[in-house]
Amino acid sequence: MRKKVKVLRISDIFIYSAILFFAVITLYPFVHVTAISFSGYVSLMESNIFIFPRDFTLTAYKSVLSNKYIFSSLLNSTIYTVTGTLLSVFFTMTMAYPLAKRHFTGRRLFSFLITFTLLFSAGIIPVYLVVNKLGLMNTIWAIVLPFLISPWNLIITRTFLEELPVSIQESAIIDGCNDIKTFFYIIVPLSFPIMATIGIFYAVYHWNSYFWPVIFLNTREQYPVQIILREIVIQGTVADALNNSEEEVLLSESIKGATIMVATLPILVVYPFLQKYFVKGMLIGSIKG
Amino acid sequence: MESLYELKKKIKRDRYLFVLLSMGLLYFIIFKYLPYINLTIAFQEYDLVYGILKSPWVGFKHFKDFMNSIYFVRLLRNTILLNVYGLIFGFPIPIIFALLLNELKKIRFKKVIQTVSYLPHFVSHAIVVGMVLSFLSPSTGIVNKILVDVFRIEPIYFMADPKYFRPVFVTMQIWKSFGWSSIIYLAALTNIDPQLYEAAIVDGAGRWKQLWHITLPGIKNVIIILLILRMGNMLDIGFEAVLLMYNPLIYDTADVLSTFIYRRGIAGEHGIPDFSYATAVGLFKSVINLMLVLAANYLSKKYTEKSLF
Repeated sequence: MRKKVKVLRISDIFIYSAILFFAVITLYPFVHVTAISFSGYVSLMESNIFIFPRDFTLTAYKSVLSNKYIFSSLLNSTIYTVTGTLLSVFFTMTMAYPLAKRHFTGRRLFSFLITFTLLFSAGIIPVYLVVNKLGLMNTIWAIVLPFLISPWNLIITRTFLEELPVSIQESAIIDGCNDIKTFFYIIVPLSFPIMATIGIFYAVYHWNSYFWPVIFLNTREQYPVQIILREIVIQGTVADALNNSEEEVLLSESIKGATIMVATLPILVVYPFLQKYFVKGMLIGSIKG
Repeated sequence: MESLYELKKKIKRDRYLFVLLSMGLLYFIIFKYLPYINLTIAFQEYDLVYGILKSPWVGFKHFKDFMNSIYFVRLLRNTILLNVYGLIFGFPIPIIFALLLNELKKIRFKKVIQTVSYLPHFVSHAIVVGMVLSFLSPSTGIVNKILVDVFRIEPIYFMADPKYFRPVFVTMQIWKSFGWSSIIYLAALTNIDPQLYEAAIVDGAGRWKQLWHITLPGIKNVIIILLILRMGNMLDIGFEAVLLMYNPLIYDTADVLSTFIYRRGIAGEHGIPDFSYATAVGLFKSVINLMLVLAANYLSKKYTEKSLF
């Protein structure tokens, strides 16, 4: 595209250093937390840890991993995330398919009803009261059902399904498949890319969700990891501002770091493999969304 | 107009599609439309025991109470200011980042940087807030360490002084979202016809001229649409992040509409949860939001010939 590279040296230096600046800004917090999580008491007190841990120790991880609430909350989060994601992807697909059919009766009405919920939300309390009335409080269903279908993901999926070739579906109908069979045998196998994309969106939502679990769950045994994370990491920090004893504060720092690492790790591990799907999904969504 | 007979015939033809749709539709009815009915409690003195049908009506009492309270101005100011600052400082950064990435010629390097920049988007608010609070800690945080050692000033109690909340929060939001937000611009950039650049080079245009006359005009529409969209969401901030980050010492700048609704309506700040009052505040927010979105859509239609919905 551009051949006069040599003439443009200075701008290249500027561009690369700016890019590097962005990358460092993004990554440094993670590096710093990692370093803190492996560091010992004295260095924490002097707070001279920047990139590498000092007086390397695994004490913080030992106490984090032996905390029974951390373990149970990780398990809870996994259950909520897997259940929620599977159900959400399934029902988003079944709903998006009829809406993607151009001739479908009532297509515009239903699409409007869905878009309307994006424009005007009933708010927190009315949803809370519905969940309460249905007797879902303190069950996994209070976490999963109220967020079963995200209108955004529905729109992305519909857009994807609209682009699938009509001819295959027509030939399936001619071969005697009804719409439900066509959906399961023809459409679903062709839709793995979009299912992966919205699956990631739903999974990330469930894994990271904090607010709704807080109001729908009452017992610590049911808490997902984000709530436990808050108790250890954030509530500890507020106490710090309110003058706890210095010793207490210092000991807790590397435990906080280790907790953050334990909760982030699942995302870091799957993240690189899923990259290509979510970028694609974001683009489908942005074109028509 | 189609006759009833034709409609019946069509519905019969689509009956299996309706079966597929029904499950999702049920979800929308229960969890999106039933809550609309619950909005009526904003005009009642709602009591769980009596329910919607028997609770006494009070008209606009809760709305009046809210607007006459000290919270009205404070919450609206905080919500809007966090958004305005987020817009002023946060909106240009993904564009600049995308433009910089677009100048990279090594595809692999570009991919790595992109992957890195999306990462914060996928990390939970609890984690990000946890890291921010840990870095800002007056006793052990790296920020205060630098302030004390390098700048020789007293440690700052960031989370105990209202004046620091807005910059800290906005910076955090920008850090979390700039990479992810840049995706749309990058896509728009790849849609620009390469021939335009070739022609510009032949005409002797340097990098700046290319940027000014080809690249920026090429993504102008995307920028305008996203700007309008953003303005339509003026009352929506990452409220979960605020809830995780704030504390009573800094309510003055940190408390926003949604956190207030949560405290009043669910946590029960003054003893028992006040469902009606909190619902009224929520309804107020939703109505303003709807008007903003409709205004944004109108603007979008007018300036870019594109309607958002």
